[in-house]
Amino acid sequence: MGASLKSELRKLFSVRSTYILLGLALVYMAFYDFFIVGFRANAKHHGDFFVNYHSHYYIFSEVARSGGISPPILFCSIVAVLLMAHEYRYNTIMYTLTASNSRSKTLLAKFLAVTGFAILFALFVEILSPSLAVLGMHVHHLSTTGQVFFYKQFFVRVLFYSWAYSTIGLLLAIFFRNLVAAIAALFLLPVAIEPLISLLLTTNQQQYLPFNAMTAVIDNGILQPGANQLSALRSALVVIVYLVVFWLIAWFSFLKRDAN
Amino acid sequence: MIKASNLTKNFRKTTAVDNISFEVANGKVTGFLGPNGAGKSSTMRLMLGLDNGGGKTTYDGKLLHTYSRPASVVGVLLEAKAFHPTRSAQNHLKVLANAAGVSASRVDEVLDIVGLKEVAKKGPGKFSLGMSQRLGIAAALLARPKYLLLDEPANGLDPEGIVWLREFLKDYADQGNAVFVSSHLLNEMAQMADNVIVIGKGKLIASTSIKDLVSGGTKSTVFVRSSNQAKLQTLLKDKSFAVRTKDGGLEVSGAKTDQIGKLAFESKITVLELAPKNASLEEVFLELTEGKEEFAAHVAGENK
Repeated sequence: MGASLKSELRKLFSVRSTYILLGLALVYMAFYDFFIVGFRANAKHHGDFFVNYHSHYYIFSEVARSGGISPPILFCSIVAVLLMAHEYRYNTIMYTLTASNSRSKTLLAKFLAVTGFAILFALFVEILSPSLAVLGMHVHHLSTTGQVFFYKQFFVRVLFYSWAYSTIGLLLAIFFRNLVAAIAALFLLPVAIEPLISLLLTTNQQQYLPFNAMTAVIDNGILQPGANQLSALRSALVVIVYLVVFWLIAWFSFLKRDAN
Repeated sequence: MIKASNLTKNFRKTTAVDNISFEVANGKVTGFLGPNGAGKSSTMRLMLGLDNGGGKTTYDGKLLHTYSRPASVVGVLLEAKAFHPTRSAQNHLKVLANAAGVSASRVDEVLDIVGLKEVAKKGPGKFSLGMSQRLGIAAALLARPKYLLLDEPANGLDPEGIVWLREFLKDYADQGNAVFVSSHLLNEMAQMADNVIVIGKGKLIASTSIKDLVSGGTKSTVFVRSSNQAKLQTLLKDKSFAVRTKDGGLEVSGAKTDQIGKLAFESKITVLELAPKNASLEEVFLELTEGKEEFAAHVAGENK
């Protein structure tokens, strides 16, 4: 198990795509957190208490919402897709499977590697996002005094979101075994498929769809509690149920299907 | 010893591997021959547990997944280009070394063995087919396995590389290991392999030594030159052997040298030259697999 995990971690960090995606996440954060939230803070609509940069909650409310968090985390999820899909694209799966005495161990090693990477990535986002926003304001000589930042809930929510999104990426790659199809699904599911399904459901039922629930983990209950909304914790449980079910299907299919 | 029993693989309505059983002996190079689409790669994948199908394969009596470190039991090369194109050759092998529980220093050793030390830090995406094969062979050797399963390892190798591979595999087998290698280069296989397994359309056709295979082919003949050609020809024909004159002697089909020698001695004919002339592996292969090709080409104008 340790050998497989070590191998998976080396796979992650020995291809340039990992660093390119990390760089793209950094570029996004530089644009959004440094430039939009920080540097252009005074260009925002001042009528809204929370988006007014004089508010004590300004940085937290701008940085900690899904609009700021989900795009960089998406890059982390793509890294997870690549870890699995490259095995099929380049046929290295035959080496991976013949070196291990159990396919379950192989799959678990991939899951642990992705989890580890998602945690690192979440920490990267959690440290850089607010820092870049503060830096942007500082560079523009805008006051950042008296900011209230709920570090603990920001830390936990982003960590969960990063882990869940990356796990979804891994699962899609296991199901599709094709790089393009898995990445297309990763983009289409939240912006096209799930909204279409939402049309068939009531507002209350929509909260139980996986990507809606993921967004709710980040957004719900931050500063303003929403009416009839699932709490972030309950949304996280909804996400976990989906992940467990799809993991079981993925595990079964990984054991039963031919290697590639 | 590798023992494959009742290997079977179906793809929907097609049977790719049809209840094949054979053994791969230790200390020998065993060639695996068959026309395109005969099921060679599918058989190898079944042997490694990569595909789900019928039958089982044991390595020294145990299934591969029952070993704690399967990579130290069997080294695999199924496809030359099985690597990430931008991950360096060295890192590619380090990934595999990690998975196999092998120290990183072994990576440099195998790169040296296959002659890729100079390009260790380069991405293999731009490697030639021959260099890719060498990298694949390096991967197979990483954990010093007792068995090697190699699918077409000589493809793309230059003549020097082919000679190196032949000597290397023979030497590897001489150390008590078993090498199971498929190839379309029949002349190469004839020089390299001790035993051979031939399949066609998923079925086992032959499993024997190269020596027995070529001597048993119907195209094997005996050349004899004697003091009385006409008399000897008549005697041989009387024994129902096919005889034709060739190069100042007789070419006899279906007879062994000792039969001809004895017949000549009893008839007081002096034998001047007596030599078996075995069919080439290629001739025997074509003879064995005739009608068992999945994809057969036709000469222009030939009736199909």
